[in-house]
Amino acid sequence: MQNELSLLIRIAVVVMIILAIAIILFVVFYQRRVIAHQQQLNTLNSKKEKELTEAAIRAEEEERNRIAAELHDDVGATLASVRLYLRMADKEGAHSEAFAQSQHLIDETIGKVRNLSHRLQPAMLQRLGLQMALQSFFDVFNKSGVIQITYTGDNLPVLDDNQSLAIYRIVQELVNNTLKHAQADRAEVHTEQHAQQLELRFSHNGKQGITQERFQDYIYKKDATGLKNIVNRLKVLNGSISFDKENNWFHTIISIPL
Amino acid sequence: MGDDLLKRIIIQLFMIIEFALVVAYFSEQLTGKRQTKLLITATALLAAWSAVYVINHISQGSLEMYNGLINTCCYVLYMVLSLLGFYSILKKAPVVMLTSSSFFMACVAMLIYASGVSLILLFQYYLEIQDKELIMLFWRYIFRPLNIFKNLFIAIALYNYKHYESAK
Repeated sequence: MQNELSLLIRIAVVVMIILAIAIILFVVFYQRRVIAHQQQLNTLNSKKEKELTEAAIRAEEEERNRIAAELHDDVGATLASVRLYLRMADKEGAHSEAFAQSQHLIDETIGKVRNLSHRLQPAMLQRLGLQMALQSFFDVFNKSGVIQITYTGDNLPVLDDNQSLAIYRIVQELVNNTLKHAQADRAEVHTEQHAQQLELRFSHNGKQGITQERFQDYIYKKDATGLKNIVNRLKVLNGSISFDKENNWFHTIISIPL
Repeated sequence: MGDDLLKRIIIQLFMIIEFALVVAYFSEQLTGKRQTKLLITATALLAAWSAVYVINHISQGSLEMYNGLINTCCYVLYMVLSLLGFYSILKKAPVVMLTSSSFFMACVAMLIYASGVSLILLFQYYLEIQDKELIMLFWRYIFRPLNIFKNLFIAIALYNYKHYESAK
């Protein structure tokens, strides 16, 4: 009886120690797995960061190229014509047709430079504020008949220039993406202010759109520059973006702290 | 006072001091509200139980205050504390490097030590009556090696703690 009890206690002690060791090993291996997972996440994050930075640089380069091309091909060519006309006017006199033509071309060039400057920094945004600038941006599309964009929501709070420009560009990008990929005929933009947060909801009834699941795929893709630019702009504003699909409407929800 | 009784009192004192030190250490390391509540409740219950037990024995005119069950409960509490310690380490962000964590080493020491010793303590009173030689055997071959193991790991924990402090 005593021997049996002694054996039982010994076995129980050994089992207890083995159990304790098993728990410790579990903790060690679990922690290792967590570390490996974290390293993988870090690698993915740094890859994503790199992709975003590359997208920002690419977008900047594209914009510079576009401006350079416009200046060279349009403004440059017109100014070259003006020079020619002025040479002719120099020979023909101040009241010649060449002089009038060069005046006309100078006016045209001023218009082109103004347009270019407006595209770089929307004048409407500076003069009338974000809400009116957005409404006027949507009016252009509504008049064209390609898509009907409705804008509803609270009066926007006073935003600084950077915030306004970023939101304007984000909406521009969302509308462009919808026109390019979604084949939508209706879109809605709704803004709402919650305490210290501005929520902008962009919805469209297109055939395809971005969902939360597809967003992660897009963000790691080499293309999707527009989407990456939106993410970059939001990063600067400490904002966030999320996606939803409801009754065949795709929603993009943007939250920006005020 | 016989040798046997003196030995019991010394063992009991050792257990009380060990319990107080372990609880003090873990109460500093475990910062969760639930964990602190559990620690306070378990300590209060054990203290009350011990007090009732001692008063009861003294009123009966006996000085033999040793109770294997209370001591086993203390050791079970060590195991629970170690498991809570592991849980808090796994929950911690950023991830803790186990080999350089003094708390992890202390948890390892306490878990292995307590899981091995708790059963001997539980049966100690019974075995002492039945077979004194056997309990000495257990004491020699299980308690002592586990105690050495525990102290070794606590030494590593202290070494890690010292390095962590100097690195800060």
